[in-house]
Formats: sequence, C-alpha cells, structure tokens
Amino acid sequence: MNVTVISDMLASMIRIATPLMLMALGGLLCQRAGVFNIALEGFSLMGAFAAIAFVQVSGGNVWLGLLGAALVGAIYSAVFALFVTRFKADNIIASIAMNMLATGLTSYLLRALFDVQGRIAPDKINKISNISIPVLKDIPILNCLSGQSIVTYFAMIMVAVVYIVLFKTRTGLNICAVGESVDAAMTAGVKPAVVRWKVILTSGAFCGLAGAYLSTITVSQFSEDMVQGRGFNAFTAMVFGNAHPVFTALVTLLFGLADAIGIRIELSGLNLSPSIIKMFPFVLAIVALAISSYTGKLKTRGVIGAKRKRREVNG
Amino acid sequence: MNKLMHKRIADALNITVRQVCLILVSLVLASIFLGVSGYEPLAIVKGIINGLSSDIAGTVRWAAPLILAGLAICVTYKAEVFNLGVDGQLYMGAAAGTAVALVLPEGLNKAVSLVIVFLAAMIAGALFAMIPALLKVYLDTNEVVSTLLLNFIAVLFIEYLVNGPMMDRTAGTNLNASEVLPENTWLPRISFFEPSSANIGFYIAVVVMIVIAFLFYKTTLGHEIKMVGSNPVLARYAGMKPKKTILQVMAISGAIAGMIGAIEVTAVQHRLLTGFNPDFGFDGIVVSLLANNNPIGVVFSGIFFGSLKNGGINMERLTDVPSAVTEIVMAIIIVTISAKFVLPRLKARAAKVKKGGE
Amino acid sequence: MELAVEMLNISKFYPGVVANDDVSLAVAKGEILGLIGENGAGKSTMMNILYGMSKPDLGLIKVHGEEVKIDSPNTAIKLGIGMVHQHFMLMPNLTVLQNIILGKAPVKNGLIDVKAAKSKIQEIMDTYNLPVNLDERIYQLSVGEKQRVEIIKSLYRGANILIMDEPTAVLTPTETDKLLEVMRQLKNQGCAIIFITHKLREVMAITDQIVVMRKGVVTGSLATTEANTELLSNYMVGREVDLKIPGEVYRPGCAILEVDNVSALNQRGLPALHGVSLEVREGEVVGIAGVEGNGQTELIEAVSGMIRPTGGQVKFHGKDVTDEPVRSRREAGMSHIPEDRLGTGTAKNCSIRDNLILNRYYQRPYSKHSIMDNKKLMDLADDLCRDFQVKTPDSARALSTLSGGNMQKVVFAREMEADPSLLIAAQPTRGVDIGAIESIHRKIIEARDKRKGVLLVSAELDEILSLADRILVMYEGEIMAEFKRGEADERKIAEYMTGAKRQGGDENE
Repeated sequence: MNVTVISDMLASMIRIATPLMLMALGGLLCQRAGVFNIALEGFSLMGAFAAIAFVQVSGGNVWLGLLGAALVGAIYSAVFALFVTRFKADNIIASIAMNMLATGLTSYLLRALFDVQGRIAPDKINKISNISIPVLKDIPILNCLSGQSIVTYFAMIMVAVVYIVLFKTRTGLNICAVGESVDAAMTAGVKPAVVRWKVILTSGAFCGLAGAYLSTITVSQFSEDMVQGRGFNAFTAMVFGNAHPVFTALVTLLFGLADAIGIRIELSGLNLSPSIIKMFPFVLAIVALAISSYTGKLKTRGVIGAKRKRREVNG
Repeated sequence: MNKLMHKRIADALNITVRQVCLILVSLVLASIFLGVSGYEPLAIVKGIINGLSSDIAGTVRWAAPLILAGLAICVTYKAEVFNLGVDGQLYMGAAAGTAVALVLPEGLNKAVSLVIVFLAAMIAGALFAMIPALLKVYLDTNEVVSTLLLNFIAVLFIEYLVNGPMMDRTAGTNLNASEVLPENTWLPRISFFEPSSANIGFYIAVVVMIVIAFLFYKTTLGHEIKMVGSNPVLARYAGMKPKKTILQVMAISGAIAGMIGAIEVTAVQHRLLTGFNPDFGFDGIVVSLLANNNPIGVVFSGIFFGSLKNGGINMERLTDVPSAVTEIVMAIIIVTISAKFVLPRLKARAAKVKKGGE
Repeated sequence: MELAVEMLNISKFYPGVVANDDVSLAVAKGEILGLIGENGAGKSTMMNILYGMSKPDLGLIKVHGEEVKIDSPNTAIKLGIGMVHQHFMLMPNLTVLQNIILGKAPVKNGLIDVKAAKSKIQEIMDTYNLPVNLDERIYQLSVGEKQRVEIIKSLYRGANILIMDEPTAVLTPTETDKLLEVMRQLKNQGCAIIFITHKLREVMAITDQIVVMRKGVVTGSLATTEANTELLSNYMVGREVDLKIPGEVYRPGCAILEVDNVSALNQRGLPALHGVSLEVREGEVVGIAGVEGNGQTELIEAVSGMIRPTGGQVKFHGKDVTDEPVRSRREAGMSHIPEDRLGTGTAKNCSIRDNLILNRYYQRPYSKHSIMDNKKLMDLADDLCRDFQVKTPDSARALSTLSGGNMQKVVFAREMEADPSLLIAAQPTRGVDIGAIESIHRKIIEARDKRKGVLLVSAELDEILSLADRILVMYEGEIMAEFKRGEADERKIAEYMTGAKRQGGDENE
C-alpha cells in the first residue's frame, strides 16, 4: 500500500464527506436549538434539483447553481420552520412530510419544467475547477487536502465558523439555551421561535448546497432520489458527534472513509457484491448510533447528558 | 357499554369531518398547483372519483397494502414508537416469502402453501423489526433514525439477492429478479376485477384490521399499549413492562409489514424484484395519520389513498400529468394534519386558562 | 420610606374564575413583604402580572412612584424587577456563567466578553455573599447553589425589586438560614423583596409586613410585628385547621416490610442509597424525614420494585422480593402513592377510567385470558369515583378534564382500592390544599388503625411529627437517627437532617 494510494483514498474520503458535513452542520444547529430535523434529506434533494435547474437555465453556470441551490434550500426549509414553530407540528412528522414533498416535487418538476423522467443532465455545464493549494499539494498523504472543490473548503471553514458561533457568541448561547430549556430562554428574554427559524433556514441553505454539490460536482446531473439516504447518515453523524461541530465533522470523515474503502474494494475486483458494499456506511451509521446511545451521549431532544453507569430498571 | 359506544361514534364523526376538510384543502391546493404548472387542474380529483367508480379495481389493488401499512404504523404509534422501517420490513418479508415459496413442493395444496409463505414473511418482518426494537429498549437508541437506516440496508439486501443468490437463471438473459413463483403460491386475484391485479389481499387487510381493533379495545395488551404510549413511567410504576410492550408492538408491526411484502410478491409481481415497493411504508404514515391512528379509520383512509394512488397512475397514463403529484398531495395532507391549527389552539388556551388563577 | 412597588386594585379574570379580585399591595425599598396563601389563592397570578408574564384586567402598577405598564419580562427586567422562580429556570448542561449572562452577555469584537462578565458577576457575589463556581455546570450544583445562581441572575440584570417564589421549599434548614441571611443582606442594600412562601415560621422570621390571600382576595394585610402563626393560618384558610388526628393506641404487630442493608443508584448512575435498613410493622406509620434528594426516592423505588438495588434485600411479608417485579409486589399487597402524582401517577390524556383500573385490568374477574370485560371495568371505575368523591359526570372522560385536586383523588382511589397491606406514601400532601390535607392524613391514620403498614416519606416535618409512630431521618442515603413519637421535636430532627449529627456515631458539630 503505497503513499499515493493512501492519499487518493483520503482525498476520496474528503470528497464523499463534504455533503455529509454540510448536512450534519445544519442538523447540528437545529438539534442544539431543540429542533429534531431529519428533513435534511429532503432539503438536500431540493438543492440538488435547483442546482441543475439553474445550471440549465443559465446555460452552464455552476456558480449560479450553487447559490441558487442554497437559496432554494433555505426557502424550502422555511415551510418546515413555519409548521414547526408557528403551528407546533411534531418535528418528526413534519420532517417526513418535507422529505416526501421533496421527492414528489422534484419528480413532478422534472416532468413539468423539463419534460423528462428519471434524470436530467444539463445541456451545458461549466464545471468548477478544483483548487490546488500550493505547498500542501506536494506533501505526501496530506496532499489529500489539496485539489478539492471550493464547496469542500467552504464546508471545512463552516465547521470552524459554527464552532465559534455556537460556543463564543451571543447567538450561539441563545441557540444552546433554547435547546436546553425554552422556559429559561424565554424568561431571559430570548425568543425561541426566532432562534429556531434562524437555525432551520441555515440548515436549509447548508443542505441545499450539499445537494448542489452532489448534482453539479460529484456528478453532472440530477436523478430522482439522488440523495440516497445521505441525509440520515449525516443526522446519525451528528448524533454520534454529540452535536459538536468538530467531532461531527470528524465522524462524517469516518463515514466518507467507509464509503471510500467500499469503492476501492469494489474496484479491486474482489468478489463482493456491490450492493453489500454500499451497505457499509449504513451499517456503520447504525453501529455509531447504537454506541452513542449506549454511552448516553446525545439524548434526542437536544440535551447532552453526562456519562453514566446504567442502573437496572424493572420493566 | 352503550354510553361508551356513543361517545366513540361521536368522536369518530367529529374527527371524520375534520379530516375530510383537510383532504379537501389539500386537493384544492394540489389542483391549483396542477393548474399553475399548465396541467388540467381537476385531473387529480377526476382520478380519485374515477378510482371510486369505474376503476374501483385499481383502488382495491392499492388499498390493500396501504391499509396494512397504515395498520402497521398505527399499532406502534399508540405506544409512541415511530416505526419508519415498514418499507424495510416489507422487503425482508417479501424476500423470506419468496425464498420459502421457491422451495415448497409444487404439488402442495394452495391454501397451505400460502399460509406457510405468509408465515415466513411475517416472521421475517417481525425479526427485522426486532433490530431497532431491541436497540431502542436496551440501548435507548432512537428508533426513528435506526429504522430509516435499516430501510436502506434492506433495499440493498434485496438488490444483492436478486442479482446474486436468488437471480433467475432460467431465462436466457440474467434478469434482476428471482425466478417466477410456482403457481400454487400465487395469491388469488379477485376475478370480478380482472385483469387488474386487485387481489384477496384486500380481504386479508380487512381481517387484520379487525384483529388489531380487537387488540386495541378488548385485550390487556391493547390497554398496555395505550398506557405505555401515554406515560411509560406510569406504566412501570403500575407494574407493566414498557420494554416488553415496545418489543411486542414492533413485532406486530413488522409482521404486518412482512405481510405486505408477501401479498405484493405472491399476488401482483409473482416474483421478487427490486423496487417493487413504492414506499408503502411512508404512505402508511399518511394513511394512519389521516385516520387519527384508529384502526377502523385506517380502512377508509387506505381506500381513499388507494383511489388517490390509482388516480395518479391513470392520470399519468392517460393525460400526461405526472403521478408524482400524488406524493405532493400526501405531503400536504401530512403537514396540514400535524399542524395544530387555530381552532385546536384556541381550545388548548381555553383549557389552560380554566386551570389558571393561582 | 420610598415605595419601590405598588400594585393597586389589581383584578384578573379568566373564564369562570376570578384569579385576582381588587388586590393591592406595596413594598418599600429595603423592605421584605411576605405574600402567603394556599395553592390557587392568586399569589402566583399577582407575581406573574408584576413580572410581565400576564396583564391585569383592572388596576395599575407603580414602580418607584411612577405608573408603568409591564407587558413582558423584558420590560419588568428593565424596571429593575427580578424573579427567582420556584422551579428553577436553569439550563442543566450549561455553565453557571452561561446561565447568568444569557440574554445579557457583554460583547467584544462580536464575541462574548467572558472576562468582563466574570468580573461583574464576581462583584455581585462579593457584595451579597453569594459564592458559586462560575465554570461548573448546573447539574453539578446543589439545590442551594442553584438558587444562588437564580438570585445572581436577577441581580446581574440590575434588579432592586426581587420576587422570590417559594424559595425555601427545597432547601435544608441550614440552607434556608443561609438564604434568609442573603435576604437580609439584600434588604440592607436597599432591595425590596416580595417573599412568597407557605412556611409561616419563615414569614414571621424575616418579613416586615405580610399580605395573606385566599381565593383571589386579600384576607389580611398587617405588619409582621402584629402577626402570629394562628392568626395567619386563620387568614389563609378561614377556619381553624386542626392537623392533629387522634389514632388508636400504638400496638405494632409483625413486620410487613423489611429493608435489609439496601444500596442503590440514582437516575444519574451515582450511588444514592447506602446500606439502609428499616422495618414497617402492622399497625404503624413509619415516617422518613429529610430534605428531598437524600435517597428517599431511591429507597421507594427499591421497595416498590421500580429499580433493582445494587446490594441488600427487600422482604415483604417475610418473603424475599428483591428481584421480584413491580406487579408481583403489588399483587402481594403493596400500594404506592407516588410523590409526583400528576406526572408519574397519572396518564393525562387517557380517560379517568383508564387511570382507575390500572391495578385491576388484567385480573379476574375483570379480564379473562387477556380479554378485558369492559363493562365490569366501567362499573369498577364508576364505583371508585363515587366512593372517593371524584367529581365527574362520566368516568370515560379524559383525566385532564379534572381539576388538580380531583386528579389526586383518582390516584388515592386507585391505590386504596387495592386494599394494600403496605401503603407507600411519598410526599402525599405536596401540592395539596390545606383543606384536602386533613382528609389525606385521616386516611393514612385509618389505614394504620386497620393494621396496615404505612411507609411515609415527607419533606414536611410537621406532617411526619403528626402522623408517624416512628421517625427515621435520612441524609445522603443513610439513616441518621430513629425516634419514637414524642421523643424528638423539630429542632432536634433538623440537626440530623443536615448530617450534622448521627445517632450513636460521631457527632461533628
């Protein structure tokens, strides 16, 4: 196993993890504010579609696609925000609705706007070139960090930004407060609804961008159902990462690694069915979920509990 | 008993009226949506009406799996458990049913064969549902996420099966499907509705509904499910075992999901293949929500959604309106049901206020 | 003396209920006003109005002489009004610092200025003698410390008018003394304090004037120097309340419950019960005295079967039940009135009937082969409602349609119907009006007189002293002392409650 192989695999890991990271950051912010948002999948799907739509309409401009996708993601998430805050809809049911609606809408719009079924590749697409970082690209192994797309670097920067905002600013404190105790937040003058709108819209934008990455950078087309469960993997990564931006990002890298290894195995011609290989990330996700529940890391309503020894409860 | 029945019927009527209003609102919104995108606005409404009159066969065909999916959901919902894994459990049931059907002796009596196949499917579905159930009960793992992840695993597993061990190698080219099931394992279609694939799965669904309703209203398990869903600490304090109850509801739910897989494979597809499940599991959520998680209501809700789905398919076939609009309608329905709109909010405020004055 | 707050002719109406009827009160700077009354008297409504959480229908408020309209807690805070809630408004997983500065964090370059915040808070802590560790997380603090954080929160926002809502309800006697000291400090610094409590002795000790409310009206308004506890009780309830209930002669029989060196963990997985041994015999009430959180909850959980102890044995009627599930203990004759009746003890969105049949639904003749006989269960529920005076026209209605008092009755009815040989009563009169307290106490004595055993856990010392034949004092998961009825008074028991002394052991004073 020589160095280039490792470096290639790590680079692959980063590429695969990029959309997960963005989605997970969005989910993390929502979780911290007490919003159980598993509509990441639907938000991303809308973004993926919007990106290709904008690319097609603009004659190949991927930048427009990325920005448009973030915008569309945010607007779409506003519906979720409305129902979850104003109408007090159950988070899980509303999430399911948003995911369902996204699948239906994208499928519908594919027919209605472009008169195709199943998938669409834009007539022209000016792919964004990857960014090569001068010194880094020559360091063995670490050069996996160079040559990635701008979205990837954006995602990494966002990890740092989310960290700072969450733990060092008033906004972040307000977010954590709302997630911990809505009553305490209200008596301190914080408006929970406003805070939740903000995190949901942010998650919408992040997920939109993640979807755009999938449809314009990973590949160059939109196909129905192309998010393929990544939204749920991202959510799990967030749970395992304790809703902490840095840990969550690391977990998404782990998931990316699993996927990357799977692809290598498939390509290496080992006699393992590709379907089984595709299961890797999901199995890993379930194991991660189980482990984090066992150590009592993240309770699903946004409270991060202390590590505890289990006591036997009857029944 | 009479008083209780009266109250139940009154409540049911109340809720029915409300749900019908919601359906109408959703349909209006969807029709507007269709009109705006340049399609005939009334297409979906026509499709539904069609499905309840001239093309009732299609409705019956789709209603069966939808009713069962709705039942699978409402069983767990009462216990405040979210089984979003019906799709995965359905696939596992289909796989098990197919595997068993393919090894049964050809000459075996049809009824017996079918019973065995269905049992295998139900057991497989129940076992697959035990994975998230055990995780939840012993590790406190949130079942929403675990069931969703398992769905993907199940789909991939089926892909693996029909591209590998269970692939049909009898035909010249390699199909991505299992061999055709022997005829003695074909669930009978309803001859009245032929050539539609409407089958006796519908009757099976109604029977399951009766069983579930009986379970809820007349058995101790039903009472325990209700109490565990309402307040698990109370249940424990009163001597019940919430953990056991959760396992039980998940097993029942998984078994029903497996049954759906068995019906689709034995009555409609006559073989195992990928993608035969148009997300019945998620549709089941809408079916159950619309029925207010009441098993009897689920039948009516299932029939409605059956006609909706059928209408959508016909619509696409005949008029070029994309059938995806049915999913949009369903999503609108979910969202409008789950939103606690003004009226209920006022009521809640009134109740809170009555307690006030401290 | 300058008046800090005046609430004049405040009335607040809700549909069907008059929460406040022409209520007036006034507090001067550097003065403490005690606001007392039963649950539902209207005190909380008044304070909610003062703190901007609701608006009065009639009347006006003056702060420092000027008429004001308080439409939100933010406005109240700006006017210098701070509220120390009975149920802490704290965020368990965040630090003390974060809890204090929430909503009012100083900012430098876009980021929170931790240094500035800490120095300002340190100043407050020094001035008022309220020491806390700013970097600890709330869940690590003791109850007294948490309360200090609540007070600092208000002071940090510049409060000079403090509303303290039942602050001593969860404190040990020592912590209470410390709090009263803090209140004196605040008073000396010119703060005006409205002190809500139902503990008459504290009111007498610290306040300058007292306002008594009952059913939305002021029934008494007087200077503390003119008051005494009998007078105040009278104002509160409107009649003489005799909490002393005579029982039969104390003749305990054989042991019904034996707890033998039992240890257990609490919800956080930390040891909470350390080798506790006790006995409850026929015809006796054993009272466990102690401030909440000293292992009583875990003791009851171990006895009732809700958790498995990490060590020791529980014997019921001589049989070892340590590993037996809850249901078999109930069937053997154990009943349990939980301390959180409305939380643990009821299912609010189920029907009254569902709540009443919890103990019986699976037993013959109410069900056979797991199939329930709904008619018989309905009759059972209706009978219970009648026998225990639960006011409802139809037991099929949702439990939430009942008043709080009637909900409590449902819990009692269910547990007493089972005709237990051992009744576990945890904080039985918490949240219950004085009028209903009598009847609950009477039922406990009745059970005892009928040769049942009662294990009573209560943080109200009066209750223990009145009802218990034997008193055990718990502190930090251990039994510190045991007294027979009449052997000790409040003062003495309090000494053991704080862990300052241990019977027959070291006496650290």
